[in-house]
Amino acid sequence: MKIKWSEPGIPLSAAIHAALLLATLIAFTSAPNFEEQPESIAVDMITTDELIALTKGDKMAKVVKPDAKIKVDKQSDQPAPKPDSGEAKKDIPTPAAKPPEPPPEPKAEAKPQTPPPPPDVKPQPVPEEPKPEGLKQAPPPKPEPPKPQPPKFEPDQLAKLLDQQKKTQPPKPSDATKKPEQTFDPNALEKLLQSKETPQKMASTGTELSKTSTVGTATGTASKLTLSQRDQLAGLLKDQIAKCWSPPAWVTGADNLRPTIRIGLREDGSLDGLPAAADTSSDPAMKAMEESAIRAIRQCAPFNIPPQFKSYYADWKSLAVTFDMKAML
Amino acid sequence: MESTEIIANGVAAATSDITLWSMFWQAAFVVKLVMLGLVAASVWCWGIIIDKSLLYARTQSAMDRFEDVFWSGRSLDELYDSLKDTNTNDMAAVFMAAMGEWKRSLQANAASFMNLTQRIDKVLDVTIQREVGRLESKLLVLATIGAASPFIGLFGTVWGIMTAFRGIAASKNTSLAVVAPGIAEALFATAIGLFAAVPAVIAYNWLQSRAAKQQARLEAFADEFSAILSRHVDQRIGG
Repeated sequence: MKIKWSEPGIPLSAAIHAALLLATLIAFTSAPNFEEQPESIAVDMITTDELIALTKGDKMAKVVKPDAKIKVDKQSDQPAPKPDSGEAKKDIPTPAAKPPEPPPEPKAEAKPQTPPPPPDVKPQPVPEEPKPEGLKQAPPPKPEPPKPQPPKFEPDQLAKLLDQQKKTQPPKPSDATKKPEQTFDPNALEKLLQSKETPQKMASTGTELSKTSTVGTATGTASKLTLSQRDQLAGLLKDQIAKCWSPPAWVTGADNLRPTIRIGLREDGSLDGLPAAADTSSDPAMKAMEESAIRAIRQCAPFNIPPQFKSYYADWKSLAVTFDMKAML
Repeated sequence: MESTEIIANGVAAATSDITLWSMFWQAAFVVKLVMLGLVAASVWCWGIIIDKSLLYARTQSAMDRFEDVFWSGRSLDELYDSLKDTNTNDMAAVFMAAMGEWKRSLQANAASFMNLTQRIDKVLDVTIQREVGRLESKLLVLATIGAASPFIGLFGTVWGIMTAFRGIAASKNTSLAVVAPGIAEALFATAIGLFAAVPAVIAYNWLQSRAAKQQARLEAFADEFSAILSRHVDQRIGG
C-alpha cells in the first residue's frame, strides 16, 4: 500500500494503535494480586504439662489457681488415684463403668469368687455354684435374687445354660454395651472386677476436701483414642464421606491437593456446627476442593460411628479429616 | 505440603492468569470477532481524525494566504492567470469557478450578460457545496463509530458473560475464581468499544464545528466575490 503523505491518517493511526497495544501488553502483564491479610488471632502457648494441669478443673469455675482442683465435697477413704495416662482406660468397656445400676449387685455377689483365675470362667462348666446362679438370675431384674439355693447342682443343666448364653451372645463384645440390662456378660463382669478405676460418678469425692473448684475442663481426664483407633475412626468417616464426594472436575492436579477439614461431631454422629477447612488457602483450586469436601460432609451428615468409639467422644468431638483423592476415590 | 503448594500455584497461574493477550485468546469466537472489529474501527476512526485535522489545518492556511493575495489589490485577471494551471482547492476553487464563468461570458457575445449574476451565483453555490463536501467527507463515519461501538462492545460483553455462565452451569462450581476470567474478558469487549467510541464522539463534534466555520468563511467570501462581480457586470451593461 502506497502511503499518501497528504493523508497519512490510517497508517499513522494503525502504527499508534500497535504501539499502544504493545505498551499495554507490557503494562498489564499480570493483574496485581490483592494482598492477603490474614486475621491475627491471639494465641497462648502452653506446654503439655500445663495442659494437663489445666484439665483437672471445672470449666465454669471463677477462681484460677496454680494447682487446679475439682471441687470435692466428701473425702474418700480410697487412696488417691494415680495420675491417669489416658491409655490405661482403653481396655475397660464403658458400659460397665457408666450405667451404675446393673453392675453393683453382681459385683457384691461375685466378690468372694475372685480367687478363681479368669481363663476358667467361660469355656468350662466348672462346678461353682454361686456364679452360675448369678448368671441365671441376671436376666430378670428382680430386686432380691433368690440366692440361697445352691445345693442343687446339675452340671449338665449348667453347661446347657452356658451354651445358651453363648448363643444368645452376639459375636461382638461391644454389643453387650448396647443392652446392658437384658444380657448379662460374664466377660464384662470379669473386667469390671479387675479394674481399679474409680467410678466416674464419684467426681465429688476426693482425697482432699476443697470447697471451691478451679478453672479447667471437665474432660481433662477423659480417655483418649490411641493412634490406631484414631486412624480407624478417620478411615470409617472417610469411607462414608467418599460416597458423597465428587471433587471438582476442572481442577487439574487434584490428586496433589489434600484439603484438611475440621468436623465437629455430636455423640450420635451428626454434625455439630458447620465443618470448616482447617487451614484456609487462597488458591482457587484448593478452595474448590475444600468446598466440595465440605459439601460431601454435609450431605452424608449423620455418620455411623461404631459404639466402641462412643466412650472417647471427647476426643473425636472435633476431628480433622484430610481428603486425599487418590486414597478415597 | 510443599509439593501441594507448588501444584496449587501452578493451577492458580493457569486459571487466574489475566493478561490482555490471554483475555483475548480465551474469549469466545463471537467476542473475539467483536474485539477485532472494534479495534479496526478505532484504527479507522483515528485515521480519519488525523487526516481531517491535517486537512483543516491546510485549508485554514490556504484560505488565509488566498485572502491576503485577493485583498492585496492585484487585478482579478492577473490572479486568475496565475492560478489557472494549478490545482486549486477551497477558496481559490470558488474564485476560479466564478472567474471562469465570468471569462466565458466575456468571450461570448454581449447577450450573455443578461443572467450572468445568477449564473455566477449558481456556480459559486455548486463549488462551495463541492468543497464543503470534500471537507466534511468521512465525518459521518466518526459519528457512526461513536454511536455504535459502545453497543457493539456491550454485545460482546453480554455474549461473553452468557458463555461464562454456561461454563459455570456446566462445571457446577460457583467460586469467584472460576467466574472471574470469563467476566473479565467479557468486560474487555466493552472497554474496547468505549476506547473506540469516546475519541470518535469528541473528534466528530470538534471536526464538525471546524468544518462549519470553514464553510461559513467560504460562503462569506463567495457572497463578497459575487457582489464584486455583479458590480462589474452592471458597469459593463451600463457602460
